[in-house]
Amino acid sequence: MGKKKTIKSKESSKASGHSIQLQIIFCFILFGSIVAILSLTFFQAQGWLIPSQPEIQMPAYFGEGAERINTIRLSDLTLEQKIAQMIIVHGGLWNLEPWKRMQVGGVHIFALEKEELFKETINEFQTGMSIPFLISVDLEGCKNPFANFKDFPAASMISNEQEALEKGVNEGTYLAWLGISLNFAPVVDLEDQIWKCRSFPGNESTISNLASAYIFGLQSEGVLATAKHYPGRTLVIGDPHRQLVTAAISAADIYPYLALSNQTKGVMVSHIIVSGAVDSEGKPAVVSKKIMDSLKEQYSGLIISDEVNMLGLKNFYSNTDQMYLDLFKAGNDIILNFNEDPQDTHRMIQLIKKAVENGEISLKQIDNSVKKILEAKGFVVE
Amino acid sequence: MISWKQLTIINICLLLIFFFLLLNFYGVKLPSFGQAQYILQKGAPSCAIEWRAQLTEWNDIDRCCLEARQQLSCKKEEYVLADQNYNRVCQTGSSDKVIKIRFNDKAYYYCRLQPFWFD
Repeated sequence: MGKKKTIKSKESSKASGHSIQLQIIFCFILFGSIVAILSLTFFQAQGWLIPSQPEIQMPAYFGEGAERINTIRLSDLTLEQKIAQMIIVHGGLWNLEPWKRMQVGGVHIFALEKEELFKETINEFQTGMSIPFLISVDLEGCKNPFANFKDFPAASMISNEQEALEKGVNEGTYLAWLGISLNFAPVVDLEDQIWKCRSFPGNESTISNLASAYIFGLQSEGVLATAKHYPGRTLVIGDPHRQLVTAAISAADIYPYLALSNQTKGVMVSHIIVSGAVDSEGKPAVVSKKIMDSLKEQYSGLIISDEVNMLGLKNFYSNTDQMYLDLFKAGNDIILNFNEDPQDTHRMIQLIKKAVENGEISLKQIDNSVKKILEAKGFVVE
Repeated sequence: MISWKQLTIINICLLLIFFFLLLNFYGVKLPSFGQAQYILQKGAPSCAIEWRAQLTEWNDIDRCCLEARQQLSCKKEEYVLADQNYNRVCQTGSSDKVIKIRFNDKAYYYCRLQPFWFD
């Protein structure tokens, strides 16, 4: 009896020892898995899981004065590289690696503390890139990312074309000196009820003339201008109870865009649902093929979307995939996406790549946009 | 020596941690502390643009957030206009010529949830 008990207790302690051993093994496996998933998450956050695009070969041609002509063959770019060229992201240095790996078309710089920081950041981005990034800012005068150390006059303070020209030249000289190639200015909305400083004063004709002088000055210094926000009425106070913003557009609202169509290198399209002189058929203007097609009839430069993470646009969609598809399908040449998660941008590129491969978006359309972008960067495109 | 019961508790905890990390890795969005902060904050989000001492309320909170994000810094600063209380301000530079974007806490917590926000 006593012997039996001893054997039983020995067996049960053996079994519990065995079970503890299993628990310990399981514990080690879980711990290892946690370390592995943490490492992967870290790699993902650093953008190291995003595959690098191949280096682009550029044949060197030389002009008559032996100056190098940067020529690029569209056929040398992968489809992913082409789509990536159509995206401008926020140029935070924490995402330097993934943006370089994806070879996105441009980086937008927010306010920084010192002039040197702008130079350093731009230099970090451009180093080693065979196709340089477009470097963009929002310098409109009162909206000024350099305000910590440099003032510029607000557009609303400009009263004649000479002042507008000087503003353009001064801002262009400074931006070019910093290495900035694209300015999201001038605002040619006829009314600015919110900021009261972003638009030039006057009626549609005066605004167009002032904007024209400004663009001439800015672009003569080598910085691309962007007339915004097509088709107008983005700076008026909307209905506070409606999340989708709508506006009735008059012929006067679109007058500046027609007047500047041969001059400005870029036009930014807004998220407003419009009717009247132009009609977006109930969709935000930026995803409306009808709006884009009518704009393209008048204008052959770069069409740039407003930043896409806005409720006015997102509320229109049940998922972002469809929104991204529609942004490309509508015919935007450049999409502004300041999402700080590079995985989102990578996903967007893959999504559009698939849509091109299955014929939903034509390769010709992508090629046309990329050609415009590369030419704006100073390349001869074959 | 650690007991079987203690090991079971440790393993369940590790399993839960692993599960949440896995969801995070695959980009599954879970309710966050930031969302709780936003939901718990009373009132409606409110934002206003100030230029040269002139303040204009702006109901497009998303755009307000993006404009604030583009500024150099944000800090706590009380400002009352009519019945509206703004307690945060984002700006670049300190001169009185610069644009100021003023928020209440509800709007600020909303901004922090946006994909373009970075603290």
